[in-house]
Amino acid sequence: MTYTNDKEQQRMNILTDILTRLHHGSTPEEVQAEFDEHFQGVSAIEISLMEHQLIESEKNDITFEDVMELCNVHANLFKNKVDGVGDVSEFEKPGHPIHVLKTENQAMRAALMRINRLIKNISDDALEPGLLRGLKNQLALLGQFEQHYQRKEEVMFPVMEKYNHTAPPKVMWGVDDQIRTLFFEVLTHLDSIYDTGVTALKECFDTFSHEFTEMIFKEEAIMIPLVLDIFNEDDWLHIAEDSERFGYAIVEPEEKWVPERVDFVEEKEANHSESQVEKPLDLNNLPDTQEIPFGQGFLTLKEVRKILDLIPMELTFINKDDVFKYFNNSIPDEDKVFLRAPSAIGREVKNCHPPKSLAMVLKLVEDLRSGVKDKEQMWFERKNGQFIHVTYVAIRDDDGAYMGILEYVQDIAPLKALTGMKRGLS
Amino acid sequence: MKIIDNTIDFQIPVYDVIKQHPEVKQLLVEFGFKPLTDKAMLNTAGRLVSLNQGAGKIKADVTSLRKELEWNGYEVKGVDEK
Repeated sequence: MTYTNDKEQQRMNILTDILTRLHHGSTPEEVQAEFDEHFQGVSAIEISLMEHQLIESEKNDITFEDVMELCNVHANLFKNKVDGVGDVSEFEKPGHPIHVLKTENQAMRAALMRINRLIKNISDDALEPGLLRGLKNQLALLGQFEQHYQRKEEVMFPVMEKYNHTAPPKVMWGVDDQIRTLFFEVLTHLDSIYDTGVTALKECFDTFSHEFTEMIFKEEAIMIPLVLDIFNEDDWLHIAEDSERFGYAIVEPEEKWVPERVDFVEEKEANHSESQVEKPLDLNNLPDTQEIPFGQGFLTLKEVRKILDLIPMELTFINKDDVFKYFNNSIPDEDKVFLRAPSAIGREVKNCHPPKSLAMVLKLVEDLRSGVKDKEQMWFERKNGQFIHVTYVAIRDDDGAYMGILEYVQDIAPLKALTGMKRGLS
Repeated sequence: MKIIDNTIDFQIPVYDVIKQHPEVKQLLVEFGFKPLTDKAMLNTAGRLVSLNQGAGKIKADVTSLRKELEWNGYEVKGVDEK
């Protein structure tokens, strides 16, 4: 990435400077004020991108460990910030992976507070067995953070990496492992409390507790804003599904998250029973072989299906209500530019895109709907040698009413490469 | 964000206690509230009976329940100790 913007370049320099100082032994407290001054209001994603660039760059000696330290500085910045709250989004609904993550964090913080209370109340001369038993109980409960971390690492991180955010997961995973080690030390100290004493346990737990709480802040202040910005609804569905395998910490999701979708099968049946009289064709019972009038001629349903799956383009159709309704299957998945999932049929188009590209998509849909445009074309090269040409075209009824958008995508590299002529059979 | 509260109220229905603190269920079961493992019981009796009343029903001492919860780091309120 190159920074054309002076301000961005300036920030990059400051971040480099801060990280270099951390690398050479400055404490996070020493750089906090400077960080706050320059990075207040800068998005987590932007900062993580810069960190990423600095770790990768050969020009400095900044390491993962330095960025890990900066994580605390960064989280501190967000701690002081009050975010405006919008309306209830999908991720605020029970069962959504983000809701689950936050509920667990809440439950784990509560457990942490209980343990803190207990540890405050024990002393070497009065080791109440009941209290020790309770403490063990509560630590075992808190130990379920393992499920929380594993889910994050095994299910969410790969999706972040898919979008080329490789540095934040790596850094966070490193800190997770440190926290695991600290927790293990706490358990060891508790097991040997009659030998090693209460003070050692207290000190060890304080260190763990601090890092553990910091991680909660990192998840909520950096990771969550970041992933909410880049994941689309299919990613979240996939994450929700894969999460069950790893289990949950302290609290189970109250319900399964089901995003709102339109069900075409039911809709069709409902329409069918209402308007049966007017409909000349009973589509539900139409034999595959019956001839249906199409444009200038006739086609059977089977022929339509075969033809659509033969046209050498990726066809995608969204209807007038912006609902993703159809895609054809003529291109093998590995060659497709936009891989579509059958499970996405029925989704609103605004949910099929990450927030990053959403504004452009919605603008395009609006322009095609309103008639500002009838068509939009884009083209780009892919690393695999394909030259992709994409067309979005508005579909309008005979009276001009908007019916939806057809997208067709084709690899024109083979066509561009043609020269001369070929007028005979192969 | 919801305010974290580790207080257990002995006067409200057990169902509500568990709703607020799901992790307490296991503790209560181990203490002697065996019927709580049964979802149907939790949804019926659990909605009617408080911890104070429940302790009486399983012939347990409400003071030892209070202690058990405090030993697990909870604060308690409304304990009906005679």
